[in-house]
Amino acid sequence: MTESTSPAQPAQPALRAEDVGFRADDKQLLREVSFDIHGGELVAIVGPNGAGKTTLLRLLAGDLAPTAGRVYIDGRPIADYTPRELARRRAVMPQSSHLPFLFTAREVVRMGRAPWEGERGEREHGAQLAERVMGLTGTSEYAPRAYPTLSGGEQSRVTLARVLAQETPILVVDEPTAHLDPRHQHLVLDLLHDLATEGAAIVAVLHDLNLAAAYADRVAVLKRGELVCCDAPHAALDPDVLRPVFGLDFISRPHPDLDRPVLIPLPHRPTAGRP
Amino acid sequence: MIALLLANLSIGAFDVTAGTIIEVLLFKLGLASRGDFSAAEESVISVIRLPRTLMAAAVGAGLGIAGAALQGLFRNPLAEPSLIGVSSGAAFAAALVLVLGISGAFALPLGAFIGGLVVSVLIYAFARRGGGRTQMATMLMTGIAINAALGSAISFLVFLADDAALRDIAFWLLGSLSGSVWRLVVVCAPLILAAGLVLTRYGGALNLLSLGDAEARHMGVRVERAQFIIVAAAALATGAGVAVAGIVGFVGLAAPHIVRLVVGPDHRRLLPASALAGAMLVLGADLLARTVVEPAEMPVGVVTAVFGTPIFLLLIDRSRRRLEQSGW
Repeated sequence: MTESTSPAQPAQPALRAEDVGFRADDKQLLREVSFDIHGGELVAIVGPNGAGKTTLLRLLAGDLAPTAGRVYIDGRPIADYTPRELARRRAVMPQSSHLPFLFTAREVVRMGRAPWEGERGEREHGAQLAERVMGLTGTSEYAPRAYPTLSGGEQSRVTLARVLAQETPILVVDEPTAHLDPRHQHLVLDLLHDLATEGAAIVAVLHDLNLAAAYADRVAVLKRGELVCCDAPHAALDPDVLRPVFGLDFISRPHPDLDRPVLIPLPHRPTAGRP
Repeated sequence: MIALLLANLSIGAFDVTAGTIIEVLLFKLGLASRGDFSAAEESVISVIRLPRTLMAAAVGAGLGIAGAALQGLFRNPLAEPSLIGVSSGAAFAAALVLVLGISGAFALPLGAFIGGLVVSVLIYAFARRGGGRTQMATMLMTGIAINAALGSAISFLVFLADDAALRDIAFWLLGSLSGSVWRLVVVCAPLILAAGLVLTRYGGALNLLSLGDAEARHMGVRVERAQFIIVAAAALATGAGVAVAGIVGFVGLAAPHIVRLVVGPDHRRLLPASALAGAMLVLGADLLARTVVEPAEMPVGVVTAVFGTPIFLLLIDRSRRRLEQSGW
C-alpha cells in the first residue's frame, strides 16, 4: 500500500491484462490482448458489435477465466482472490439488472455495501455513503420507490449508485450510458471521470465514440478479438484507425471547448475494407 | 400465532378449554402440580393434539421458509418447494412404498424423505452439468420436466395399486397431518428447524442473488456454494415435512407472497416471517380440516388449495396492477 501512495513512481497497475485470450467452442473471441490500467485513469473500450468488448470486460471482472494469458489486480492474479476480497477491490456495473422483487432503490444501493458487512462502524458509514452516492447519481428522489417500477435510465443510475456504494478502487463498467438521455450520459461520465481523477482505475465499454473521446484518458480499440491500439483519444480515435475497424469513414474535428476530437461518421461514402 | 396454537389444541372432536390446555401443558412440563382436569383431557392433548399441532407448525414453517428461499434463488416469485423435485420425489417413493406393501412404522416417511432428497440432488446435479456453474433457469426447467415424469410414474403406480393402497396414496398425495405422533415429531421438527436456521443465514446472499448471479458474485457472494446450500436446506425443510404430512400445496408458494406484502422483499426479514406465516397457514388449515366435516376429516392439502387459490389469485392481481404502470 505504501508504494502506491507516491504518485511520482509508476505504481503497480490496478488492472493488468497479459496476453489474454478467450476461446469458446471453436471461436477465438479474444486474442493476445495486453494492457495496464493504473489508478487515476479512465480507459474506454470501443469497437463494433461482436469485437469482443463484453468478453474482455467479463475477463477483467473475473466472471470468465481466460483460456490464455492472465488478468492481474494489484499485481496478483485475479483467480487468487476470494469473491469477497475481489468485491472490496473492484465493482462491476452491468448494463442492466432486472429485479423480480419490489426492493426500493435505496435497498438496492445498500446491497452494494455487502462486501463490507461486519466491519466496524459499517452500519453508520454504509448508510451515509448510500445517501451520498444517490446524491451524486441524481437518484435520491427515487430512493423510496420500487426499483422495478423505475424507467431504464433511472434503473441504470441506481445501479451505478449501488456500484459506487461498493467503494472500490477499481470499476469495471459495461455501457453505463446505454439507457440514458444526453444530460444523464454526461452526468454519469462526469462522475466516472471525477472518480478517476480522485484515483480510481476505471475501464468502461462505451458505444458512443464521442463520449469516449470527451471523457476517456485512453481508448482501447478492439477489432475481431484483437486490440488494435490503446492510446490517448487523439491517436486512438483517428479516422485512419477507425475506418478499417468500423468499416466507416469519419471526419475528426477539434472539440470547441476541450482538447479532444469530435467524430462525425460519414456513412454514405464508399469505403474500402468494410468488415 | 399463539391463538392458533391454542385453538388447534382446544378444538376438535373433543373440545378442551384453553385454561385446561395450559394446566395440562404446565403439568407436563413439570412447572405446576396436577390441576383440575380429567385423564381423557390430558391424553387428548398430550397424545393427539400436541404432536399434531407441533407438526402442523413445523411442516408449515418448513414449507414457508423453503418457498421464500427458492423464490429468491430462482429469481422467480412463482417458484415453490415442489419445483426442486422434493415433493414429486417424495410422492413417488411414498406411492412405491404403499404399492409394494412395505411395512414398518417408518417405511413411509423414511421412503418419502429419501425419495425427495434423491430427486432434488438429481435435478441439481443435472443443472450443474457442463459449465460447472449452476444455471438456475436450467434447474427450473429440469425440475418441471422431472415433476411431469414423476407425475405420470405416480399415475402408473396408482393404476397398479389395490384398493387399500389406492386410498392411502390418495390420502398422502392430498396431505394430511393425521399421522402425527411424537416419534415422528421429534425426528422432523429438529430437521426443519436446523434447515430453517441455515436458510436464515443466507438472507443477505439471497438479496444479492435476486439481482442476478453475476451481480451477486461481483458483490462477494460465493454463488455456487450459496446456491447448493440453499437448495439443500430447502429440500431438507420441505422433505422432512412432506415425509410425514404428504403434499401440502400452496403454502410454500403463498406464504412468502403474503409476507412480502407486509414486511417487503428483504430476505433477511422475509425468511423468518415466511416460516411464521407458513406455520400459521398450516395450523389454520388443519383446524378447518379437522372441524368442517366433523367427525370425519379432510386432507389438509385440500384445505390449503381451496383457500390458497383465491387468495393467491387476488395477490397476483394486486401485484400486476402495481407493476402495470411501469410497463411490466
